[in-house]
Amino acid sequence: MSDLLQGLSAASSGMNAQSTRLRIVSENIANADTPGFRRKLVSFEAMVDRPEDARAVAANRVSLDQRPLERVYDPAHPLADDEGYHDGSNVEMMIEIADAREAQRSYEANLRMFDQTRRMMSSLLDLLNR
Amino acid sequence: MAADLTILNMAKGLAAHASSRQGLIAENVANADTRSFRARDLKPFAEVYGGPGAVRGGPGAPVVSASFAPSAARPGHAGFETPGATRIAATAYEITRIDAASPNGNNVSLEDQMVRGGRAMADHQLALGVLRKSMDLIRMAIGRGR
Repeated sequence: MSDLLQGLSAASSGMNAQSTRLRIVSENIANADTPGFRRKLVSFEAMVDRPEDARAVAANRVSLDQRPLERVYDPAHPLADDEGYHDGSNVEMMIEIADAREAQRSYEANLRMFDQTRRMMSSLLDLLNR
Repeated sequence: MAADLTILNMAKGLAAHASSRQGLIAENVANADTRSFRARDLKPFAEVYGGPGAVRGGPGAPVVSASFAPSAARPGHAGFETPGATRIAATAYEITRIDAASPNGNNVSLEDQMVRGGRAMADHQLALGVLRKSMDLIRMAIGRGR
């Protein structure tokens, strides 16, 4: 029973981490055209140092992508410099969409494991109720 | 009844094994995108049953012993201090799948984990079915009906 409970908490931590990742991805996509925006990166860490949920996962600190910003030529833009360029963002739509799909796939896998574990627990409890 | 209910012990062992396995698989899936995470699984029940995990070996021995014994949350807790009781992590092995390895050192394959989870659930249902039927038999034997 405690293994099943541990499985439930691992699966829910996975869903938490994946939804944080999806939120960061949608923030990036929303700001794809914001001048000077650096895309945010999220990394996952196994929480091995916390014995109560042994190998659950958590989204770690968010960091900024340090790639150079895109230079956009638009002389009419209020931020444009003398040569007519201004800083764009360094968000790549393709990367963000791929990341979002991967997050969705992992989230669904976690949801399935959660549901399966929950069903195993309830059939165990049914045995006690007889 | 004289056979000290071997079938109950066996079914109990299979149910405990399946739920430990399910817990490990849930951890693997949760860490499907964590860097340098290695997927783990338990050895099949047929290998563990009657092996060094069981006391004195043999099919008559109680299955629930060293391999998936309950571990005390605190060392001071009474009743759980059986010698050689280890966490299931000790008997878990790392799954080696070259095809699932990613550049960040993670080797969790979600498809593989789904198959393993399905097997664990089927084992669990089988064990619970056997337990339920055996309990019905015992109830019938002591005359309570079903």
